[in-house]
Amino acid sequence: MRNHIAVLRKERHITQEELADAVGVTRQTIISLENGRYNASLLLAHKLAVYFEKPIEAVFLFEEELS
Amino acid sequence: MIIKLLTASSDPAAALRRRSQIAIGIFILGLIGTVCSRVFLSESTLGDFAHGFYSGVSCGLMLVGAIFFARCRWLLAYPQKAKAQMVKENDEREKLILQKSMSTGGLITFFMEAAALLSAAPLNQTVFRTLFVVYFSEFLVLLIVRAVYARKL
Repeated sequence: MRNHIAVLRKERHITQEELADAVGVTRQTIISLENGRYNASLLLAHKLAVYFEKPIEAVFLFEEELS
Repeated sequence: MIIKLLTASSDPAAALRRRSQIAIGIFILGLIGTVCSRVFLSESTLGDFAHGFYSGVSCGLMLVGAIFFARCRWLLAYPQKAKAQMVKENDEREKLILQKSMSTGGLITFFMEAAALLSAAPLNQTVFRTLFVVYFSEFLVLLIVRAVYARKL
């Protein structure tokens, strides 16, 4: 599952550490999310969507939608 | 890991205080073992190996308890570090890594034990019986835990 986390984060000029603190995860998790190596749980996806003030579909892209 | 499960709390300070208490308990357990091994085992008919085993485990428990207590108190003195520690412990990716590690490690160990069981049979009956009981117990625990989670989830 791909996502726009890196893009949205850079638009807001915040670091990975700051984003991790804001949603209650480690910086490693944010790095793995941005690299597409890890898929967030529904709870974390919701927290990220709320933080970025966007709907979940605007933050995360499901593979079926891309094809 | 078990201590972390037992002391889970949304308040990092409360969790760390509980862990400090458990650390004291571990230290006291080690102290009791050390005293008993010095006072009682010296007069027993147990061999040197058993004597050394009890002494070593007891001293190890005391050391682990002391280090664990010191770390908990240090984290309590620095709330930011305590919070970072709790975030790391509750991080979903870390939990998934631990879960997958235990699952894969358990599977590999399961097959290694089977190999040990098969190779012990012609060599030593006591070792074979011990391994057999352990292997069978693990299998039984796996079935029970699976049934519990199938019902719960």
